[in-house]
Amino acid sequence: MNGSSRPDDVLLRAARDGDGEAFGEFYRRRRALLLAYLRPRVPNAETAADLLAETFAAALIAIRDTARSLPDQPVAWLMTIARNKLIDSVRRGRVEQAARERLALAPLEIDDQDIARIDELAASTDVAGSLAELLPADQHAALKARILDELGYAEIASDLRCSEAVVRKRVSRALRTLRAGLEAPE
Amino acid sequence: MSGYLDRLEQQLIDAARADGPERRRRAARHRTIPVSAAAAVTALLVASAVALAVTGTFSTGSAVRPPARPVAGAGAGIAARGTRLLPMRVADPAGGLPWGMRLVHTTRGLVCVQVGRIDGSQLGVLGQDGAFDDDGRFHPVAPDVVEYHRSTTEISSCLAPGQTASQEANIPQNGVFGARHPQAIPKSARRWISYGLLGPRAVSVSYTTEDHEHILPVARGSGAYLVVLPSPPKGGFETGGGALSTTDFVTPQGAISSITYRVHGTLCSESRPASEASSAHPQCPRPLVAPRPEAPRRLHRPIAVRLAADGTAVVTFTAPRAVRSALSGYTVEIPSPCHEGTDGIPVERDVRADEAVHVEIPSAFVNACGHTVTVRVVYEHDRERFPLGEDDLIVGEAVVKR
Repeated sequence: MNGSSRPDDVLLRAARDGDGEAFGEFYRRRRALLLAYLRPRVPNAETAADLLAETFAAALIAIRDTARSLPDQPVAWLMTIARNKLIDSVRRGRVEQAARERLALAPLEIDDQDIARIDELAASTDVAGSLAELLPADQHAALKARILDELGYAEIASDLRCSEAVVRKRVSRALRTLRAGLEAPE
Repeated sequence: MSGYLDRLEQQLIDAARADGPERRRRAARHRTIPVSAAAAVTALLVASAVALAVTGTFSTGSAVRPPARPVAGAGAGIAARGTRLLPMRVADPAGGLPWGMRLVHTTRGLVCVQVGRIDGSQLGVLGQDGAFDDDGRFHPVAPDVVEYHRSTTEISSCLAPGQTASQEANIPQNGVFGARHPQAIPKSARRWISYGLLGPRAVSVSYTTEDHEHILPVARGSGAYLVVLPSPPKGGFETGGGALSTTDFVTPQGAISSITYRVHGTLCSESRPASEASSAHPQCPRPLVAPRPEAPRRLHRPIAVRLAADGTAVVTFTAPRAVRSALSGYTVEIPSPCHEGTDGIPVERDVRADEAVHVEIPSAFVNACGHTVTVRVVYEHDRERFPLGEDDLIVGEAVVKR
């Protein structure tokens, strides 16, 4: 964790009350994780940067919506938003800007130095390690193999020395944990 | 704090603050209709500049890209076949890299013009006067950076095929707005740019400097021209202006005093009005009787409007016609009789026939005259033409209560 030692959920609560610096801290703390997740899945750093911005904008909109409860697992919640945005962008062939437009965030130019920084941050961050903080070991192993390493269920079952059904169950449980009560914006 | 990630952080902090920009947002996306054709098309985007009395080569800096990733089926589309840098080169009054023009043909049927400094075979802008952190580099401008994207990095404007235009811009000599306030740019570092596309009948343009009249032949076919003069004689540094025409002949703008055309083998000229208060005196032959436009058809289709607590209206309608280019399209309008205008949000993308279209209108009541507003969906067959004509449709209307 960078900066203060306030936990994520405290930061999000403060952000809901209009504390911009708190949301800035949450962003600084978690942007590398998101970039590490997004960058290998998109063709270039510009798209990863676009998705990063849209993800945090969507998160901020959700946080400010007092009709929603705040997430129990902020990192998992953020990752879920990022994953939704990533899937949407693949389906549509572009990164949507709805959340940024709603917040009136002006488009940002990205230059070669930014691209290098994004690639560096993405390469130096361990997504699996971060997720390990959130999940039981068996679920984390199954999820990492399936989602991050993109292995087939049979292959994972062989590696973990269990049946495919067990792997499926662990992945399913891990995803459910990540999504639990998140109400992540689509 | 200057990198993308840091600037994004600052944006998020500002937005997260209790008095963030969310409630002040989107005014720029509202288009007031009717508008003059000149204001609609001219997107001369301005900023700062310093004396560039420097000759020699520039190292290349980061490329200028569109603010959002362009897609083939929305907005202006993306640069397509036919996009080219025109061979003309115009010296800057202070020397250095010359000025030039690029014609950009887009996948959505537009013809866009870009004006900038030329380095080799590239069109771009210079990192000076607060732009690009004053890095002194040449920044190539991508062909997709055009007016339609509301970019604020260069001079550009988009036309429908067959349209002609004469335009002007009073801008910094580096060709780009930077962080410095425009008023902080000394007059000596400003340029008065006149440019346009006059079509195949245009022969030449005339302008005067220090009592000397210049006659400049235009590019064959496109009728493109470009004139770069020292600082403009009067204010208006942050604005551009221009005139459009769909009948070949256009009223000269900027430094241009007259335009000469060849019509049926005979030369004729269009001159600028003697003053802003007087009207132009067209000399080139026009049709004797202009056809009277018929009123648009009303389809009386249902329009659904859902009003959110924050005043945002989400309008849903079924598109009676397909949209396949930027030349036609749907617009959701909210007439405001007491403000003598109409707020409109255009749907700037391709649409399938019978597609359910959703349009979000933030602050729908911002210009309301009472407790209700009328939401109207129109289909414009030709977006450059006002008012609506027989080829256009009023898809439907709905009255929304606050």
